[in-house]
Amino acid sequence: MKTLIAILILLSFLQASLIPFDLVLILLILRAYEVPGKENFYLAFGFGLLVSLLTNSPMGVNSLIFLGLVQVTYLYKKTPIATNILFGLPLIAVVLSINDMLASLLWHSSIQLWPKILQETLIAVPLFFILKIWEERFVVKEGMRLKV
Amino acid sequence: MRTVPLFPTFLTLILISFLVLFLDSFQILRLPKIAISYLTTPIQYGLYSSGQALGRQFYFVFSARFASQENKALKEQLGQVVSENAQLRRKLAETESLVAQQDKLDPRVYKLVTARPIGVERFLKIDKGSSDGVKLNQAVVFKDNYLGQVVNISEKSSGVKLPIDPDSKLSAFSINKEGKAKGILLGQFGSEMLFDKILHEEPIAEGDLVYSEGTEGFLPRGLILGRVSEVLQKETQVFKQAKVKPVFDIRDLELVFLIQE
Repeated sequence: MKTLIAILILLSFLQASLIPFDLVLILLILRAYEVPGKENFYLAFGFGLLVSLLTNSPMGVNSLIFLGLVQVTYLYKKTPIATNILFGLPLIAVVLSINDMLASLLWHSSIQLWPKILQETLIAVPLFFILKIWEERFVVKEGMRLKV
Repeated sequence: MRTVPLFPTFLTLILISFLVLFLDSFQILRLPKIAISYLTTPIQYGLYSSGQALGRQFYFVFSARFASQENKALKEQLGQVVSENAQLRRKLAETESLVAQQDKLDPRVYKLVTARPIGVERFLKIDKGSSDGVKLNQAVVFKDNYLGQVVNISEKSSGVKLPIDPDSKLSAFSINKEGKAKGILLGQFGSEMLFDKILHEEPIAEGDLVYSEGTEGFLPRGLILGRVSEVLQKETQVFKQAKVKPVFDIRDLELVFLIQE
């Protein structure tokens, strides 16, 4: 979790100063998709606040959006098609589009989804597999016992 | 897989978010925000500067690569342009030669066939042969200058015996203000010809042009054969002689013309 938080902090700063993609949201959604749990809500809330602070948005707005989108991911995860990884890509695209549309409404700017959403969705693919490997191989799960 | 019984957590966090939003809209969170920004702004600035520096480096590499590709493409284009230019110049020279030739020998009287010189050894080699209708003994001219006579033919090329060839023998005359001198123009070893059998009383001087008499049948009368470079005159001999040099270097020619009829 500490590593994840450190990475999310780094991504928040990168997103706010260098890279024009919603990297924090992508990682939050991917984690919610891969590892459901209420800590994802805490992460969404906390990093929503941090992103709001770094991007000079009204505090709490990004938290609301992130929480809502994590909840959407959980709902999607309950559907039968969610078992196929390929169906995760449209979810990412939809979630990111919703995020962009809400941000556009917030800033009273025109909605421009193309090609940002496509690029973000493509970024999500390798991120998903990195996260999957990380969670499977490097994160200790509760209840795991070493057989001696 | 766990289901998602997290609605209370979700709802609590949503409410807290609304509360934060509410507090922020009334500037209540202004002070903590300023305090945090003392920490975050330098980090953001550092990241931004580093990103820009990195971007400049990448841009330089990209620009260098692009410039290299552009340079290569431009060199190729330049090569093509130079090649096209050379081709156009050659065509222009050929066209000019053709026009000049038509001024000198009327195409209505002489049927001329153009040919390109492709080599000079003893004979001048041209790129027209029997398949182009070339026949033995046809005269080869350029403007109103006689260049030689076809002596061997292959399918696609022919050999032309030049007037400087030792086997060449042409009846010729020279003309100047004082009168006309007749004789025989003989090829010599080297780049000169000898105008022989000129009577002593016939006037000839250095610089006079020597023309074809046309008695051989294969070439018209009045074609220039060369220019007198030296007159050789001995009282003890019956005839005078003169050294004759060609008017121009045969290697400079782009096109020559065969008189077919």
